[in-house]
Amino acid sequence: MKKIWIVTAAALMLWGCAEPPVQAEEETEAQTETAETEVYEPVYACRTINYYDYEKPVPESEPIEDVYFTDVLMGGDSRMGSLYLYSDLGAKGAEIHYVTSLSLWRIYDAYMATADAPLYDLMISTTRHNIYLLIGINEIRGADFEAWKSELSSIVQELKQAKPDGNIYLILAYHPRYLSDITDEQLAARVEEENQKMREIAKENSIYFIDPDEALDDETGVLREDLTWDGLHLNTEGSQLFADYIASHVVREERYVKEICE
Amino acid sequence: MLKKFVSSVLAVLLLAGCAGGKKADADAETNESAAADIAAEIVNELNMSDSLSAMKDRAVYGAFLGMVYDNEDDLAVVPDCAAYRGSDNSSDTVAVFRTTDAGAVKDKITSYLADQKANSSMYNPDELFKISNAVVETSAAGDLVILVICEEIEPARAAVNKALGK
Repeated sequence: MKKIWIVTAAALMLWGCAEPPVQAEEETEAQTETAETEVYEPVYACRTINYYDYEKPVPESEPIEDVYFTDVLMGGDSRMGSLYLYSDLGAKGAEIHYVTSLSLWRIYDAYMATADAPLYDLMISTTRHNIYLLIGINEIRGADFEAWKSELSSIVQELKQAKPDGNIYLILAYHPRYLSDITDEQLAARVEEENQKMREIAKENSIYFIDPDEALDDETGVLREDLTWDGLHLNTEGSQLFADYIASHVVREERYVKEICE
Repeated sequence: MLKKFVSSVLAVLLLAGCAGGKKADADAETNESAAADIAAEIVNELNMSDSLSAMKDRAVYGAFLGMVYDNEDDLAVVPDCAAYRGSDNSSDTVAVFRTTDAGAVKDKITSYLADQKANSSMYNPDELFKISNAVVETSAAGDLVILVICEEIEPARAAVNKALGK
């Protein structure tokens, strides 16, 4: 009797041990099936890097297509008036506004010669994506450039906020041959001081600046005599040279903004 | 007799005290007004409401004083200011500065006017007369400086003196 129980128990135990392999095989088969149906794709992290150097003026490139200027608004003092009157930028579609004796401080209230609105309002409300600003010559004698820089910086930031997809180009002051009520040495120093402030604003706010001295100056570093009516304002030839310079100094973002995936 | 004399003297002294107090009150009322209110009053007085509009605060600090409007040191010298200018190319201006240093403000205004003259001689010679005859006045307490540039010089001077309680 005892032997029968022992044998029975042994048989039961053997039977119990046999089952798991069946289950393990099923699980293995299931795992294999899963392994065969699931495909694990590698995951990339992508980011955009802007390689543009905002510390430097816009470099020269091939002239931009004329159609670019249909998306441009330009504003400023009487120097911008020369571009308006004598260059082909308007004919290409650029919207150009100016008023003589415009200073930065009057950008909010002085109406343009070309529009019944102040330049600030025109820039903030424009639907054009590329804004060029040429201002500062009327403050060159007496302005405190720290205050001037603070104000222009505020304007730039407000423009960027209003136009996050837009591009802003500050146009540095080209060096006039002479100006009334200021010596040549003082004028050169003041222009350089003002330009340095604009370079700082461009770098601090990641906006572009262009340096027309590169195209307009003689070997002494002042405006070429044959390009100006009065030592400051560009004549017809000077204005077109300036316009051509602008057209060949446009930033093509696709050359500087790259997507990197890792 | 002595009693009547003393009463009369006391009455005269009381009246003198009241008159002096009223003038001081008038000065205090003018000097405590906000620069914007004083500027607006002068603009109305000169019938220039249609041609002038208020400038942005920060532009006032920068344009006339070369100051940064949110700089603590600059605000300590000029805690309040306001100005009106035209939208056209004229030099017409009404500007009021509340200050702790009237001399410094007047120096800044002198530089500003020199700059305006230089620009006008190039672009707008018709404005030279107005700029050259700008009205610049300071309150008796030295805490207010007012600048007016306009065609009507004598009415401008009268309006400024009225605002200053002179």
